[in-house]
Amino acid sequence: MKFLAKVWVIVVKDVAAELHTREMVSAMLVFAVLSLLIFSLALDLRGAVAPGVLWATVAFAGTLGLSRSLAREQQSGCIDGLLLAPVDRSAIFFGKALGNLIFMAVVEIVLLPLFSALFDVALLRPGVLLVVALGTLGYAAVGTLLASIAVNTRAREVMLPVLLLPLAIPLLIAAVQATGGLVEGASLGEVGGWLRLLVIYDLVVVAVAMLTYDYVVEE
Amino acid sequence: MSISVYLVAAYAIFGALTFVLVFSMWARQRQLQQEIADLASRLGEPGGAE
Amino acid sequence: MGKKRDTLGLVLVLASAAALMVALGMVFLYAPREATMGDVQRIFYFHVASAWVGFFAFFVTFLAGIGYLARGERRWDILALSSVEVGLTFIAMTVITGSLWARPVWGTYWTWEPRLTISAVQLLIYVAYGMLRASVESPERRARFAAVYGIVAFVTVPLSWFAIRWWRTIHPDIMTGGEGMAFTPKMGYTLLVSLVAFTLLYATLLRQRIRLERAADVLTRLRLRAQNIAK
Repeated sequence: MKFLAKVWVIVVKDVAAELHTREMVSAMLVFAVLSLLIFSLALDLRGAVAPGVLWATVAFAGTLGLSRSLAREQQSGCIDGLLLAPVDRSAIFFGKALGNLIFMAVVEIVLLPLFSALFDVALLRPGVLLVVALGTLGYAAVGTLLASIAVNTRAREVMLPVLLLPLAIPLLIAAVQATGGLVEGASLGEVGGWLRLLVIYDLVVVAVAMLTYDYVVEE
Repeated sequence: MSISVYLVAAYAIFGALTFVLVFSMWARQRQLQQEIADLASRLGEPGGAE
Repeated sequence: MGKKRDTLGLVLVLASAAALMVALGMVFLYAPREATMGDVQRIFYFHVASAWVGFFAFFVTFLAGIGYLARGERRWDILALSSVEVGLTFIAMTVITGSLWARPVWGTYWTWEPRLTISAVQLLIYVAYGMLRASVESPERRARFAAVYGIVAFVTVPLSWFAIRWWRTIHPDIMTGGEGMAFTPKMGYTLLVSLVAFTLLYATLLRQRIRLERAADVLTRLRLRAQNIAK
């Protein structure tokens, strides 16, 4: 089976499983909305705080989804099945990461308009969407790698935020700064530095994950 | 030289943390040596009884 | 066992002690009093030296992680975990002394100044690494997972550094503004000697930690033998 086909099979399997129960994405959504509520009670989100709150919410909801997605994988014993099949380990990584990216994107599709409407922040413009896409991509990539590790520890899901968040700092800073700049009317060129950082982060993280996923998943 | 409290505290920290690490390693090393000697004598010859 | 003379270890201990004494002498007697900050600025030399070791140690862990994944030999894992424990100590020094320096100079115990912030991030990474190791039962898996985490974590550190730097350029801390230290050649030499002294100290402590871990391995093997005999 060609590489891309293998990746696609895994993505379809994950998305189909989720469509069946919808429990994970709904949990992520509920969590995200509740986060928004709590943040808005504590802070005035119409100001410069908005991008930070947005990305914090995405990060935490993402952590939820990543843990759940890998935990479910482990429970169903699917990964062992995948490993037995002649599948290149990095195909498993790409498949899982892409699935996680899709789940996060679904949450963001709901979150962004909600955020924009409630807090009078223009998030639904191409520049911001690009930043969200790049940020989510990197987060899903490094998150999938680390979740695959975390789920095999004694602490399980609790370990993921501990491992992930310090590593997500460059991504989160860049995403928040870029989003903030764009929302205040800066052009794409002006936040170009942050965009470049996001792209570099994404490339680096995906490269490392590709090279090391074998070692995470081997028995 | 005006002795600032913060200056003294900072250098105390350098010393204290180094000492903590050194002491911790020394204590663990001692504990290990003791247990190793203990077990080694109990085991005696390789494959020996008891 | 373990009773033979450890020449290299002894040399390292003596060299570190000597270098540290020279460095201390330079810090307090040779380096000039800084114009704006006064004598509190003398914290700078050991603070930067400990930061250097704090980050270098993680670089060693990164390399050791690659070594372990490539070779699968326990000695790479021992190097990785030893460097983390020593590095953690140094980065803790960096963060605490940075805070102690900030207080008299900028009136606050914490400032999101780039070097201090990145040191805090490194501290969190070290802690995460330790927690990961503590959370895995199987020694082989522990080594593998730790190696992967060490590698991916390390590559994000330079990215964090740039992100924090740019962020701080755009939004400078109202408290700190710029660096504001008048740097002279004498200060340069003092800093250099401090860096050398701390590097020697790192090597000494690293070596001790590695020996400690090897002893732990010996004990584990003995215990295993004792168990097998009891069966």
